Amino acid sequence: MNPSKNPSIPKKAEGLLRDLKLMLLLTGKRIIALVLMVLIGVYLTILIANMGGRVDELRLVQIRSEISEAVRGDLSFRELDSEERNQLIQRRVDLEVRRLNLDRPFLLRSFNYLYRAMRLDLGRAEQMHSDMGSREVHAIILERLPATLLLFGTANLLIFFLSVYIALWLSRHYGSLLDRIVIVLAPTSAAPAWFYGIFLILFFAFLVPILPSGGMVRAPPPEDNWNYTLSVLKHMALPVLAMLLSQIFISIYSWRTFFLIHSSEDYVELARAKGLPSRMIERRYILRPTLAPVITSFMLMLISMWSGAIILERTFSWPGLGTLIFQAIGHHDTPVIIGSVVIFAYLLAFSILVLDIIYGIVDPRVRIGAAQ
Amino acid sequence: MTEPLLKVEDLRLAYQTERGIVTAVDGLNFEIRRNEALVILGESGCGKSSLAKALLRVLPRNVNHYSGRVLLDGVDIMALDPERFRQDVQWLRISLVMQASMNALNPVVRVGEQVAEPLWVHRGWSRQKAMTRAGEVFELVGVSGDFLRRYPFELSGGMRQRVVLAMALVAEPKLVIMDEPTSALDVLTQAGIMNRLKRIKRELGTSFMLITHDVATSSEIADRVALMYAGQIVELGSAAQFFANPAHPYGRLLMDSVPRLHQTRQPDHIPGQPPNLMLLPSGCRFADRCPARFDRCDEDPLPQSLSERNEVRCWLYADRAETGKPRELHKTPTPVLETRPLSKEVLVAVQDLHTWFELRQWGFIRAGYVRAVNGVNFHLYRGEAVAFVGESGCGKSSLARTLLGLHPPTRGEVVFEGHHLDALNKHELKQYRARVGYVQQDPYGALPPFMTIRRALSEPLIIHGVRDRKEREARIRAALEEVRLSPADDYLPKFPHMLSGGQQQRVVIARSLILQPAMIIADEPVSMLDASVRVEILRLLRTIQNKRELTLAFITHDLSTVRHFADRIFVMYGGRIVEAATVDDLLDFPQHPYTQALVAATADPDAENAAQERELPGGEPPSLLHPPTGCHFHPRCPHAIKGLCDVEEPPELEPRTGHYSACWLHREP
Ligand SMILES: Nc1ncnc2c1ncn2[C@@H]1O[C@H](COP(=O)(O)OP(=O)(O)O)[C@@H](O)[C@H]1O
Ligand code: SF4
Ligand code: SF4
Ligand SMILES: [Mg+2]
Repeated sequence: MNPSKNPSIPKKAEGLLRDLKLMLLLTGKRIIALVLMVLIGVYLTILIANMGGRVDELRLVQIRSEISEAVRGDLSFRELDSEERNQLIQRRVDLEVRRLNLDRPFLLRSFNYLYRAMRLDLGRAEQMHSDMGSREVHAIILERLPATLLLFGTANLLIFFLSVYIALWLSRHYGSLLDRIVIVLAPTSAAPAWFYGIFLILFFAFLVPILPSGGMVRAPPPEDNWNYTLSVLKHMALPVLAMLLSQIFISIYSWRTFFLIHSSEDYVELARAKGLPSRMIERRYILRPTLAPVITSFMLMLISMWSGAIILERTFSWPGLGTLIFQAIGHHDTPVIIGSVVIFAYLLAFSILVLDIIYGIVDPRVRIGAAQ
Repeated sequence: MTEPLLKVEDLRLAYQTERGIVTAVDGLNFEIRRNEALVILGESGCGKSSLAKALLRVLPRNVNHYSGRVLLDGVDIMALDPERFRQDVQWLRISLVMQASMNALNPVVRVGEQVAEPLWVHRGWSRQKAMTRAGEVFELVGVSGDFLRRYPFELSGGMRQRVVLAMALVAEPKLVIMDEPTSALDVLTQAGIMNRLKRIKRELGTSFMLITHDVATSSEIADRVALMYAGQIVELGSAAQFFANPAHPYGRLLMDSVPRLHQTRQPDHIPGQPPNLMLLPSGCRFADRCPARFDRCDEDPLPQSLSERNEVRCWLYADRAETGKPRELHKTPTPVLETRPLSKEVLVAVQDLHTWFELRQWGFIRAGYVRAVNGVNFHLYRGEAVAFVGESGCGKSSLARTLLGLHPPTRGEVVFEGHHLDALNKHELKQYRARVGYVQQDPYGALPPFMTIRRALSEPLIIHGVRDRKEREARIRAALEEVRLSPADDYLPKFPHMLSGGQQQRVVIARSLILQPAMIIADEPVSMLDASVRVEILRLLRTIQNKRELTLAFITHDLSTVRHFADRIFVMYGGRIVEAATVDDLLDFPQHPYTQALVAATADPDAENAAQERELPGGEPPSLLHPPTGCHFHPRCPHAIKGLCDVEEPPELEPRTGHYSACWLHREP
């Protein structure tokens, strides 16, 4: 049109570079904020747990038991009589107490606890031990964590992608039979996953016994990897299905409504006038601008599901964090309970960080706004 | 004769709604030739946007009827199957500029990509090539190529609308449909875009179909005009003929209702409302508002051809062949508004007023101040009407809200009837609020949707301690009577959504009057209303102000509406008052370069407008966060004096007696 002029077109790389910088800045800011958040959360937990001197007591008990074990186990002290041995133990305990500042004001010590907790130095369990026989709380928890992540990760990803896909389809075929079915079924999501779990167990494990009713893998576990995976998958089927049933209709319904509202935005109409293919309109003009709020609502859903983890894992005897907490409560094993809280704080903070980063990627307003 | 580019025959579009069938487009016939601009002019709701959608087949789900022939270069594009239509017609041959809205661009996709998209979708170009082309059209519409990789929210409103325009031009279509492309924009921005359009039409030979409700804007580009009323075209003719001498009674009344900057005759309003599109009368659709109605009008009028390419849908012209001239139009003249001589009693004195808003980041770190009102001084006298004029974001509304006592001033003072506003205690502040009435921009937002009109009007009385039910009722009725909503019984039990925009605004005015204020502040009271209603509301405000000896502060961005509805004008720019004078002196002899630019950008409807581009300052309105140094206008001012204007703030000077202007050009030589 005006070939003599040579308009300045910024290179694609420039845009990318700017985005990369912004994302780094955003991530950095968020990490600092989240570390602060976890610090405060864990510190509050420590303060609360210390209200009755519980943690101090625990520490004392722990020190005493460690030292007495060491003294008793040491052959060189065999000859001492019990009186002397007790004195020796008492002296060592006092030394240790002074070394750890247990006789100093609580404020000082609370920071020491915080430091240890943040390093996942969670102390030793009172009653429980890991399958490998360790009494370290962090070992116990780390052993259970993957099971929980596997189960909930799979279920949630499945729910997310299925609902987004179906919701998009329904927003296009709004008023169709499937659409009306979803509307009718939406209220069924009021019931929690374990409720569906019980029926599923009844049906698939007892009436039509094709799937296992609980556990994570067949006992004894199969030797080769392939069969092991297959067995785990089989065991996962029912709990995942239970979570799916309890969430999917409401999320399809609400997202479909959301997409429907957004498909009457001016820019969608303009995209139609531009004659873009409908798949492109759906992806680029309906899904992309709404992705950020969709992800947020998904995250909220996920957090509420975490809280149902204890009962759901119990229902399916799934050896995860939920079951662990349940057992710890049963055993009054305070270090394990506190440790689990710390792990939950980390998990939550981590999920929020991931969410923030995804948010920044999908929504330039967040990315650029945060940097200014 | 050459074949027209677009020929529309008997186009119809109707929607199915819960309450019935809405016939939005009812049998339209028209054509557009190459390099011709046809303006579709009509009030909102007459079916203009539906016409645009029908031509491009962007239809909502609830279409009930869609028929007609649309010949593009002789081929009926209505008969094409959807896929062919999408690939061959959409955007490559006909494109659309949407009603100017903040929402026409996808917020999460770079604007350059959105502009280039049609090229790689329809033409199969590489992204790189399409992007280069997008850069070219960006330059064409006056946006720097640096913005290609930006997102919509990083662009100002005017720039976004230019991007939407670039999008429409990217594939060099033969026809561009524009639906109210500038109506949400500021005067200067709007005039700038119209300039671009004129140049593009001249240089590229594109045909345009411009849809608007604004007569003045339509005259900026029109070769021909189609006047729409209730789903039909009632007059079709050349711009020269239409703007000078419209034939249809509706066209004549409409032209008389347009406020003009350079005309001393007062605009009239058109009484009544357009018919409901669900319950159309069997006769002429304009009949119940038409001053020339006669017995034949009970029959639906057929289009009467006046000359070649000029027709009118009105029985007045049916027997013209016999009598040689059309029947007379008898219009009862609207009474001329009275004005009273200016009083000398100062009601409000404003001294060195600043209203700054703190901008915080992360909720606690101060990022700076938005200097919305940045040092203004003025007096308002009892019983006068003043207009504050300026572009959006110049601080008009913040000034209004400070005067209303809704924001505390950051510095300076407001003295009302001898009382300092910041010295008032809570009780006195309440008393003060009763003395100052407020009329908002959006009447629907100003009335609680769940309250009846009676309830909404008794609210302020209850708050200010009118206990007696009977007295309240009497005062409510008197107020409704005063804003001419009578009989009051028809309106009292209604909810706001049952009233038209104009009626809602009358209720808001009644509410502002009900506590017997001494002053009324009206913030853009008519900008959300239709043209024919605007004049009506402005006249009402002016009449009440006169009768009650009220002080009226009328805030507007539209210079053409102030001539008959204010005594004095203050022009605001970047949080300051740059010029102040009586209406006639200011409009006829504008002194400040900014006011001169505003006057130059404000069009009075005239077919000549399309022939020339307007002289306009470039650039964007100043940031209130980081205002320019010295004179706020210096980055855009064509007369700026280097080393002075950009350094020192100009003092308020008096180039004509009683006419103040803050500009270095007026200093003594
Ligand atoms: N999707 C729709 N469903 C029902 N009625 C509609 C729809 N779109 C527009 N209308 C109605 O059609 C009439 C014409 O609307 P529109 O074409 O938007 O007019 P304009 O652009 O002149 O304001 C109005 O009465 C409006 O309420
Ligand atoms: S047909 Fe009759 S009512 Fe209609 S515009 Fe003409 S004169 Fe008026
Ligand atoms: S002071 Fe200078 S920059 Fe400002 S309006 Fe006057 S001439 Fe222009
Ligand atoms: Mg419209």
